[in-house]
Amino acid sequence: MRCAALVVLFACVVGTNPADAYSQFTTNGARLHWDAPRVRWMAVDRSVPGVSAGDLQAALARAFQTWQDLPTASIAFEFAGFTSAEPEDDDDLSVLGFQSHPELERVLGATSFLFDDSTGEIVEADIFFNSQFDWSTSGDPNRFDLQSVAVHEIGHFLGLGHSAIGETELRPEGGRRVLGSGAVMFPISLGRGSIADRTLLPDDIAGVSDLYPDGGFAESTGGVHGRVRHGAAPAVGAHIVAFDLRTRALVGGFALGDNGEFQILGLRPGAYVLRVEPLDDADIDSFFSLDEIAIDTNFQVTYFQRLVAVPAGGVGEAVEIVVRSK
Amino acid sequence: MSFDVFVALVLPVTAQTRAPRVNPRVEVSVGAGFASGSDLGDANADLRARDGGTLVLFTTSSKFSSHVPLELRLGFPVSRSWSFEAVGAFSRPELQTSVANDTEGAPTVGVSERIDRYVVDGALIYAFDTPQSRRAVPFVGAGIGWVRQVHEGQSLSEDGVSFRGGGGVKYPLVVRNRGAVRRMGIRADAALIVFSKAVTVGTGPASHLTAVGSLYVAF
Repeated sequence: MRCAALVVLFACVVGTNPADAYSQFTTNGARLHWDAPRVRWMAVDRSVPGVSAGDLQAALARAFQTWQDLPTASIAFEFAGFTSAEPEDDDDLSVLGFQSHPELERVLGATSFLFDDSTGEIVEADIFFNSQFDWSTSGDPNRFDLQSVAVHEIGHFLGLGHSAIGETELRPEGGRRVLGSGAVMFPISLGRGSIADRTLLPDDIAGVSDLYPDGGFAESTGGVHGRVRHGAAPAVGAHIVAFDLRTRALVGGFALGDNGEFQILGLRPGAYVLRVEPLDDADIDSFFSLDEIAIDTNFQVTYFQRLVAVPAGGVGEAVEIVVRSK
Repeated sequence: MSFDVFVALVLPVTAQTRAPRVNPRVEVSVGAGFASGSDLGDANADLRARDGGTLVLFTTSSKFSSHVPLELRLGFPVSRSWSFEAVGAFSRPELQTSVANDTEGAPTVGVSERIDRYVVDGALIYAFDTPQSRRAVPFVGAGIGWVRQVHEGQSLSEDGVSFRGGGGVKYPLVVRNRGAVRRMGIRADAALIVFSKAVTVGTGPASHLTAVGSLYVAF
C-alpha cells in the first residue's frame, strides 16, 4: 500500500483564521490552543512490527522535545505513562499510539481534538499512527519514519493546521508525490526512509511561536499584510510565501479575508520577496473547510513587484498583489 | 629687564622668516559624487526534496544600485600632515533583486525597494604636503563608522558598521594669511566603502567604490 498523505481528522469542524499567518485551527474566531503550561501525554502500550511500545514512546518524546526546545515558543510536555486507552476516546487523556485504519489507505496519522468551542482551549488531543503502514524509528529506507510523522502530528496537536509551502506532482496511480517541502506541516509526507521532517523549518517555528510566543518573539519579529486581487475580485485562498533575503527562510500564509486579505507574522525584520501561488499542490480540503470558503486557484504564480520591509514588533505598509488568470 | 627686551625684539624677526601662522583649525567640505553598485550575492529559496537534497523554488540575486552620495566633512588638523575627519554622508541606493528559475515557470522578474542610507564615520587623513602648500596636495585616509539604512516606507531601519579607505587630492584656489577663511579649494576623493552586519543582504558585506568631488573651506 502506498501512502503519502497526512491529514487532520475533524478538520471539517474547525476553520482557519484569515487574520493569521500559517494555518491555525480556529473555532468561533478563537485559535485552538493549550492553556496548560505543561501538556501531559500518554503512549498506547502497543507495538507494531519494527517498533516496540518503548520505541514508540522514545520517538514520541523526541518529537515533543523538538517543539519544546524552540526558544521562541513556551509550550512544554510531560510523558504521563503508558495506557491501554485508545486514541480518539474522549477521556480527557491525550493519547498517542498505533491504530489500524485500513479504510484510510493514504493516511499515515491523524490528530483529533476535544476543545472548548468558546475559548479554543484544547482539553484533549489524540494522535493515531496508522498501523497499516510499515514504521521505523531508525531511518529504515523502506519504512515511514515514526518520529518525522510524529513531529508533524504534534504540530496539529498544538493547534497548527497545514502549511502549503511545498511542490508536488500527480502520480499516475493517484495521489500526489512531493517534489519539495518547505515545512514539516506540509500535508504530504516526503515518503519512506525520509527523516527530514524530524527538523522544524521556519514556517513551522513561526506558526507555533505565534501561537505560544516566548523569548521576545512578538517584539523581535514582524509581519507583512495586504491583499491579493484577481482582477477586480479577491483571490481568496491564494497562498503567499515571504522569502527572507538574508536568512532564506520561507514563511507562508493564506489570503482568506473577504477581500483577499492576508497577514504573515513571525518574520525576522528585513527585506522580503513575496510570491503568490494558487493552492494546487495538495487537496484544498486538507487546508480549509470547503463549505466555508470558495478558493480561487485559477491564476498564475506572481511575485509582488516590490521588496517588502518587515519591521520588528509590527507590520509594514499594506501591499496589494494583483494576479492574472492562467 | 634687558632679557625681556631682547625677546621682544627677536620674536618679530623670527616670525618674518617662517610661516606666519599655524594650520587652520577646521576645514569644512561639501560634495557629491558617484558610488558604484554592489553585488550582494545569490539566495535560493530551497525546499527539502525527497532524495535528501533540495528543490529550488526560485532563485534570487541581489545588489545595491549605483547612486549619488552626498558628503559633509569636518577636518581637524592634529599635526602638519595628519588630520582627523568626521564624515557624514547620505545616499539613496536601490536594493534590487532579480527573481528567476521559478519551479512553476513564472517569468524572471526584478523587485526592488529604495533605501535611505546615512553614514557617520571618523577617519585619519595623512597629507603628503604641508597644509600651507599652494599646490595640489595628495592624501590618503581610512576610517570606521556607523551606518543606518532606512527601508522604503520608513518602517524598518537597520544599523551596521562602515569601513572606509582611500585617498584623493586637494587643490587650493584661495590661500590667505589673515581673515576667518584661510583657504578655499576643491577636493576629489576616491574610496572603497564596506558596510557590514545588519545592513547587508545575502552572504557578504556590501562594498561600493566612490568618487566624490567637493568644495572645501578652511577656517
